[in-house]
Amino acid sequence: MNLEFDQRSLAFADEVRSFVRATLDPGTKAKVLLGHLPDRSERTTWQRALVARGWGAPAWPVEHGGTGWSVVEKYLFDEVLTEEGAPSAPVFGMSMLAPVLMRFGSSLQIAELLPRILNIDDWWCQGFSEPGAGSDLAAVRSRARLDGDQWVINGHKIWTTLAHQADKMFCLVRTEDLARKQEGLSILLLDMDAPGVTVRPIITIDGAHEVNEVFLDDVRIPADAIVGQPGKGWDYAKYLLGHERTGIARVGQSKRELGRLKALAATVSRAGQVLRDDPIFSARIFALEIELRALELTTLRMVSGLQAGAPPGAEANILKIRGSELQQDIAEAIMDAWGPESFGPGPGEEAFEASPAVATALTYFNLRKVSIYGGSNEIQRNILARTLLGL
Amino acid sequence: MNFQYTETQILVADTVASVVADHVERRRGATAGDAAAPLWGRLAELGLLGAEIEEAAGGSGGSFEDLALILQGLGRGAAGGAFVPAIVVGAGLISRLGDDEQRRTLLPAIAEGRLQAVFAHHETSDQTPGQAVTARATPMDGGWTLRGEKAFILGGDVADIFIVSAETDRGLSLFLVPADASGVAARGFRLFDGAGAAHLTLNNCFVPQAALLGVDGEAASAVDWALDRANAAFVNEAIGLMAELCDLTLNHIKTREQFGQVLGKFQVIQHGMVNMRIELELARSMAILAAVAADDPDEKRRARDVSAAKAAVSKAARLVGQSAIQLHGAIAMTQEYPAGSYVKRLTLIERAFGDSAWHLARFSKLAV
Repeated sequence: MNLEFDQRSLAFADEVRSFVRATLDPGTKAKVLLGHLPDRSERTTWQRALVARGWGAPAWPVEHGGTGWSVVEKYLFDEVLTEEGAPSAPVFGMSMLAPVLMRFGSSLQIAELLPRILNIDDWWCQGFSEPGAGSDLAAVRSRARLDGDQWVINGHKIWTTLAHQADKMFCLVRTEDLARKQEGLSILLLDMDAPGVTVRPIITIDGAHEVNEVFLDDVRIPADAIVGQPGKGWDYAKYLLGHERTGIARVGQSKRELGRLKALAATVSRAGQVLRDDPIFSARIFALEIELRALELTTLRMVSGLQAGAPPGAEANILKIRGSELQQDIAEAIMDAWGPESFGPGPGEEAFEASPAVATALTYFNLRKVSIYGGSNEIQRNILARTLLGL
Repeated sequence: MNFQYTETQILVADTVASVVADHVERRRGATAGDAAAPLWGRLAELGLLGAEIEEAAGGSGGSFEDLALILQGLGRGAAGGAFVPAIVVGAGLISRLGDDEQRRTLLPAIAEGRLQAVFAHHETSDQTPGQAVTARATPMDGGWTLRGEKAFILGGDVADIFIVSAETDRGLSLFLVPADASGVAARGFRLFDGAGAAHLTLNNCFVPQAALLGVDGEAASAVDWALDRANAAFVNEAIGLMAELCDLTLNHIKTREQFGQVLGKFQVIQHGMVNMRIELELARSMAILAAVAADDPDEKRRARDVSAAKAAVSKAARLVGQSAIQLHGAIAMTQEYPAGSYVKRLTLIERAFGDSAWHLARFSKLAV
């Protein structure tokens, strides 16, 4: 066994790092590192720089603009980008919809939509959750009926990330009522500027506008704006949600944040003592570091297994649970390290948002989401009970 | 980066699994002490005691990773016994420090299961590395006279040779002391998990010059190395123990019925069981780290990685052990049901040679 990356992989990571440092706009980087959302134009600028370098969609097959990289190279690429504070990839289009289209979409959809996803000509949002369908996703009640050569959609989506910036939505709706609620669902593709689409912001507890409600009232789209077969939407949705695997633990992000925690603890004082020298706080930091090492090694075991051709197993659910818990624990420690400084702007600071200490508190509140979204950690445990343990 | 086991390693793991399964079967009808001897003999026959010993001395010349795999397999049967003290540490120290004569005479006997040499280092119940040694060795008549006390020597109840640490005028040194030498009083006893240990008193015990293991006064770094190896080995034994506890518990909740259905249908039980498996998987990664780190020539990195692993695996061991009993319910409280012996072994391992808190502190002091 060899737990270290070989020289070639390290050289590759260096090449990616140099590119990011030379190319990424410092303002965008600062925003990402503060935990703020980059805006649409910042995301687009960055994504197009990656596309120009040939690195726009590493996970895609080469014929669609992928890189042909190994599992290890893809892993390292994601790690380096995260550590360097690059905006995250347009995940809904690139990592969710695109793989489904490649597998189940029409050749026309593939030819038209994929290049626009790659360049962020289209920003996609995901219309899955509804007020009555959260963890129980198959309970969606939004429905569409065929009227001549059009689908007519009526329904109500919620928690739709960045819907207010999106051009298009892939939307899970009921197209037929059948005995099993998982049957009769379809995935439809609609324009956000179509008549009948209304986006209403939801402000989350951190004060940010990231998610929305989307109301669909007699929205009409062409009959061919559907992914694959009508009624197969549940299978496609499962495929879509299960696609991301090795990045799910957010190791790069947690490494970056743990580094910030350590730097902070070396400068902040409490009761006349540098926090790093407080044995209880110090123990907390290093316990987090050990947990992060365990998470990273477990991720690498999975990467190594995939590289060797092993089928993906239950690791992704384990990594989702532990990765999200660790993200939360680190954010909590960072906020605690700031202490009351994180309550609000300091005497010399005017804007609430400009205070790095306040930002850590807002990040702490924001990250409560990571154990809820993408299948809550309770749902992940249910899945593991079924798939890993056969219960 | 490659976490895949080689074909030879997989073969070793399969061999250990079948020997241990046999042993467990046999143990069902015997008491713990009676069953230990035949297992040791089987391990010797199959070359597993000599897995890491050099080929010239009758071993297979393997790596620490092989020892780690064997220990995972032994853990599966709560059959670790004296493997860590006698093979990982004892044979390890002789391999590293022994001169040609010592290696040629002792290592083949160890590999064949005829001889056990264990490390007698700590003098109190404080088994953390870095403890001061008060035992003294004084040169006399072409040899050495040893005086001192050693405590909680794992595997000491059946040892033929104690590898005793003692201070000389030049510093910390190691001596091969036969258990039957005059002036040696070993008091063997049982530990709560059924394994054996001994306390040792050296009362003007004379050994010849040839008993010095390594260079006079230069044993300190080998002692640290040996203790890191012990911990790296124990975390791997712990993986086997935890894996078996997970299987036992899973089997129980799939078959035991209450309120008209099997326990495994209750979500609260499912999540408890899932949490055990999550702990096991992350601990397994850290045990791999420890196995690879055990022979890392960079001593600081070795210490840091082994301590990270011991801290993490010990914490996991608590959760898995306690949850296993809780999810079983009353049946796991009985001496007869196997879960208890696994939990007891884990509870010993997690605290031998530094517990989770101590290793966390050591890890933090070595922070990069």
